[in-house]
Amino acid sequence: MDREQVIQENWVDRYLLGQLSETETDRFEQYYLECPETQDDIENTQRLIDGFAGSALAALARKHQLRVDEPAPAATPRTFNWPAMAAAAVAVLCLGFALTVQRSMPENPPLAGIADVNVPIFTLGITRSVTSAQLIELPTVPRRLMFSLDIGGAIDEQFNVTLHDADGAEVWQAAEPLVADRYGSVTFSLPPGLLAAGNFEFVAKPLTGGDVSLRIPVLVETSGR
Amino acid sequence: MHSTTSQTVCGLSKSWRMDETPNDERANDGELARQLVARIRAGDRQAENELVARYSRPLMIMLKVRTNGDIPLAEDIHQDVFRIVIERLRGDGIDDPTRLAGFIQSTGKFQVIGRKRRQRRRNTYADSELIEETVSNSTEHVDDIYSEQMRDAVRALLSELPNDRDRALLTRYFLYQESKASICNALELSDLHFNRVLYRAKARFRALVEERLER
Repeated sequence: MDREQVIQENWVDRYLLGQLSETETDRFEQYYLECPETQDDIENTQRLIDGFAGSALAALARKHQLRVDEPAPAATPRTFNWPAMAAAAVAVLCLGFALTVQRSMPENPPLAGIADVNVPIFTLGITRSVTSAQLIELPTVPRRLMFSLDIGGAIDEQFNVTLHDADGAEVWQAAEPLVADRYGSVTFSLPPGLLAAGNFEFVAKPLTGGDVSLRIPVLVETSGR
Repeated sequence: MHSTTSQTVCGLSKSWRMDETPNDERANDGELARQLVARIRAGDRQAENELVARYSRPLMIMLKVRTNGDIPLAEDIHQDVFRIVIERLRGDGIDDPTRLAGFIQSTGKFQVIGRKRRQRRRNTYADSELIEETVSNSTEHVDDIYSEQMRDAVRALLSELPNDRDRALLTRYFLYQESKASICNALELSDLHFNRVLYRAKARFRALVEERLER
């Protein structure tokens, strides 16, 4: 590897944007440990990326459009009364965050060409019906997705959370039990590329709740932004 | 003889200068590394200082990337890496002293992996905390004066661009993190045009940031 190759093949950008394989990352890091020009380039590009992220947040706050996907109405939330309260609490928190961000921003900053941002946090309510799968629209650009499952757990109650495909096969499992927060929700993130179009189901099983499992079917579509 | 990437790729006057003999440079780096390793093995404390001076900055860059910008964690690991590397060089040494950079890189990488693994084991609120941390970092980021300067620089950069297509290119690349191929395809751009816009944007951004930091 040499400096010319680094520039021509956009190694710096691909490195910072997480587009290199592990092997490529190792190779590139070993290269730039000895290349001050590439070190300068990395720092400059990181500032550029941070600046874009900051500008996007500013646009987000200005428009009060921290878009969080609302939970579909739970079909029969007979067992728990928490979901509506939890959804309201999440909405209040998100609005509070947006207002906090806005307060620190200059009014009407002259921002050009920045599109709205959809923070991909999906809030899903509990449902007992397999026919009322809640819709998830995947962003066109693969990215990490965050989920908040309103499962009505008691504070600090622990759940094993898994994701199953349409055939019932487990495709993901939380690395460790997730703990319900004060809103009775558990939150976690899924890596890019795990979800594809089709039917899936989240299953949250309390560690100390016998054999009762909370199931949240979802329908994944790829038409989102 | 030297070549300049900007002339061959972008036609700009200021450039990253590249030596035509990178193999010689690598050989020099390798020889320097070999000498450092030998001197540290012989108990030369000045050589240890030189090692830290040479690799401190790039190691910190690497650790910041690998820890997703967790600077306290990166600083902590930074200390550990130099402690481990120097202890090793004082003792057994490394198989190929000319590959000192590779040894430092792999030590840093495995330190980060080890820390993350330990954090996961300890962290019963794992992903809830990740999300809170993300939101918290975002808020701090917005409040930070330095970040404000970066945002200003980005706004200025975008407003200076000659057309919407170039603005879209940068936004899609750095904000939405689309691949180069996807953007070139969507905007009907050549590889050369993409690189040219990117190069000019980075050079201009660097200047804008320097202007703001000097104020």
